[in-house]
Amino acid sequence: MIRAPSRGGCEEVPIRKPGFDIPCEARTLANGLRVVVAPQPGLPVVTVDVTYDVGSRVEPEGKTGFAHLFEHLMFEGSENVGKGEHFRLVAEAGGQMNGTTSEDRTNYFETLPSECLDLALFLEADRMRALVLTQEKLENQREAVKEEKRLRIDNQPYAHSFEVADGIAWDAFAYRHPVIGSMEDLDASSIGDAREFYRRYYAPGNALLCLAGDVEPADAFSRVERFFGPVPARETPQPFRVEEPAPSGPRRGSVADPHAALPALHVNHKAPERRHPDLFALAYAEKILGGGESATLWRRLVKDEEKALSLSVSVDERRGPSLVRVFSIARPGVPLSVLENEIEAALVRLAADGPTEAEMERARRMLAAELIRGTQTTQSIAFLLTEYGLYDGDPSLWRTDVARLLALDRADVRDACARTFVSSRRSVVEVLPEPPR
Amino acid sequence: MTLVPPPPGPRRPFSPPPFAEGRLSSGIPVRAARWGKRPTVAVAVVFPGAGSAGDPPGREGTAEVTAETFLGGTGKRTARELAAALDDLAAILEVSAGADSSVARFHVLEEDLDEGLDLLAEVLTEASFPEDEFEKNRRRHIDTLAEQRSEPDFLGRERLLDRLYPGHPYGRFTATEPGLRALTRDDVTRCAAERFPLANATLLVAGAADPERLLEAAERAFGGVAATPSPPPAPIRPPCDLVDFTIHLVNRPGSVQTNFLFARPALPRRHPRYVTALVANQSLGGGASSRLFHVLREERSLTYGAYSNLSPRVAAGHFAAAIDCRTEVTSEALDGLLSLIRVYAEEGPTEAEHVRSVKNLLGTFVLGRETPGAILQDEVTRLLHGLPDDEFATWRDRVAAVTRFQARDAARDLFAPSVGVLAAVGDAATIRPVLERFGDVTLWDSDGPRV
Repeated sequence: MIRAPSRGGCEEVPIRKPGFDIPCEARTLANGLRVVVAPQPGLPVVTVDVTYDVGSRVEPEGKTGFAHLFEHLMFEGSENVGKGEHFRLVAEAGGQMNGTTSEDRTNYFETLPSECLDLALFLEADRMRALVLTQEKLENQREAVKEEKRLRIDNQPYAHSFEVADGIAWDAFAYRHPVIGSMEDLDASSIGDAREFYRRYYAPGNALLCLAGDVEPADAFSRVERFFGPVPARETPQPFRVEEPAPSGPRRGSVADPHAALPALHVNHKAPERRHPDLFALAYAEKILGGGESATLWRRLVKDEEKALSLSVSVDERRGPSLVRVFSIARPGVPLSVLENEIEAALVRLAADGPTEAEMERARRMLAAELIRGTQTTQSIAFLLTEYGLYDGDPSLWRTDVARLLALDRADVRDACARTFVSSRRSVVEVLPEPPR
Repeated sequence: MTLVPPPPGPRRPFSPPPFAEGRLSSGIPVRAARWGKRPTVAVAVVFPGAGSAGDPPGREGTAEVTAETFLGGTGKRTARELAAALDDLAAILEVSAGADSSVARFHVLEEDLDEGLDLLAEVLTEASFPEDEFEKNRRRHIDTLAEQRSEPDFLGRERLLDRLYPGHPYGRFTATEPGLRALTRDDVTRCAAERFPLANATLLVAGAADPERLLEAAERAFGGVAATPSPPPAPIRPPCDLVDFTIHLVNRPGSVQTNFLFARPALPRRHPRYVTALVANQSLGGGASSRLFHVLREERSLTYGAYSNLSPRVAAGHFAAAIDCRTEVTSEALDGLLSLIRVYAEEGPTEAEHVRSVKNLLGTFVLGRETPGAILQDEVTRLLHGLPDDEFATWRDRVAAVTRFQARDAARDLFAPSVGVLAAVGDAATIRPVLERFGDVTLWDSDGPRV
């Protein structure tokens, strides 16, 4: 059964740039599953993305890493798909698949030749309806995740320092702990935890399915109904909110890194949640300070004055409060205090004076171009629409946000920076190379 | 009730776009194709033979630093002004050196195509290579090398190539510190003049516009440039054959994993058996459904990922397989990796594996070509390796024609670990005795020299 369609409007907000649209239609199945279909005629390719409204932020202390570990278990077989078959069936279809877990959500996606659409729907529906969990699978994937943690975090230079920086920046446990979790918590996870997690968070009403690519909406909705309609409705969890106390910085910390060759510095500032007006303005700050060859802070520290080997500025945008991150590796012999002073001076300057008109226009064009280049594939389109559909209830809302983003002026950026780049929101973490023991 | 996976519908047609080709008034060959749904254009200027393999001995890093210093300024603009001009267009320009060639890759919005191509032409014809910009790039490369030596992946690749292609230019993974320290601005300007002449280059353009429009834009920007024919770079000599299996351990104290890379000589890209070898590789280690991943991760919990690939160059090529495992299971993981490769090389794929691999390569061929940049990369590959015009138009037919027995024979000839190089990166104090069970171990310092 399919409920009355709600068609995503296309005309309500004109887009100053980039001059293209992504038509889509949205419906909700009787079992609560939200469905978005975005036809992109042309290539015979389709992406199927199922995103569940659960991320590492829901993990309590003692259960860190479980949302990601569970993501692994979702590939281990369901009632009609044996262990290892998910990988084999998608490969045989000429497709690619993966899953990712963030603080805010977990997604699963397949990109395939469009004649294999039914296969992706079958696989996703089967594991949504009847995942098969066993102790053996849990132990197997626990080891895979622990190996992933060693590979990506424990054995790499600087990687652990990002966990330390997050631990210092945040008060709420939801964002203070890493998505990958701790070895101790991974070891302590049980098959009972997995069954309860599946029951609580993997209900159709807690997910959004997006199809983007070589599909025709009426036909696509019909196929979705055929595969997902029989998935029984289940109780959905209460909406989760990250309760982060008011900023109480500045905070400082340091971490000794046995793998790092050079000292490095994190300078982070707490910022509002995604879609907050200040977050749009901070996207400009990101570009002005660290995006492109002419970015002011990057150019000064990396190119002109040779104080930093690398420098990145990024807005880590989240459903709860966000974080503006500056991470820089020092050149040999350059004290971290020099980097810190330079970074702080650049942030204060932007907060006081705002960007120049030229910087503003440059950033505006870069943001528009980023959207154009970032929506060239069916997968990137599916991710964009899913974010808005799941978080905001309207997959078309990206258009509104693009218009809001591109309409900002210098004062907006200055004021947002003035509100964000203040000491109470700041946390600084020094990374100091340490000889291995 | 048990449900079965639904079969695919009828295969939908797909063909890579035809490239319109021509020669600009300046003599530069140009190829253009309409591709993509967004108003953006991708451009590539390919300089065959301008790669790092052509660096003079003792000046390793010449091509890399030269490529990067193209952005150091022109006769009209300083580096800062050039950066601002590119960012004003929201354009992305990267000039990079590979082993065999260098490529300038440029992305610009369709509405800025003319202005963008003017800027690209200015960079490629009027780059001034200022002394201070050259020095900054040289120094940053040196410091970057020091930083990269803390990364296990870098250490493994550096040692693997060094031992796989001993004494050959392909044996260098990146610039060397002595080479960078010896490098002068004169080396860079000479390299730019001799190895980056536009007369030896090909201009490729793809984007959401008619090919005629793209060709016209190319003519407008590059038709009038001076492109004096220059002798083509000398071809890279083939490397010597490997005759044995050797183990090289790079000591990285404090490592919590052992990172393994195994490689052995295989085929250059233009070899007639390359496609067969690619199909054979897919069953062994091409993806998450392949044998290495399935056994080493899904069955034995020894690693997060286990993959293999072909890495073709112009004058040679190699087959490589990689896994990373916790230090405690170093022996089991290495034994598992080598055993799986050995058995596969003897027996080849099962019928099911082979069928799956062929289907996978046929399907993913379409997936990887959604953007103009991806379509352009096909042309870069074709030009670089001297492949025929219809290489990608016929690619799927040739993949579909590979039989299981041909794949088996390719695996036997090209994957067997009886010869090859095993590079391991880890804490030598712990894992050296383990590795010695597999053969003699040569120990290397993470700074490069043999211990």
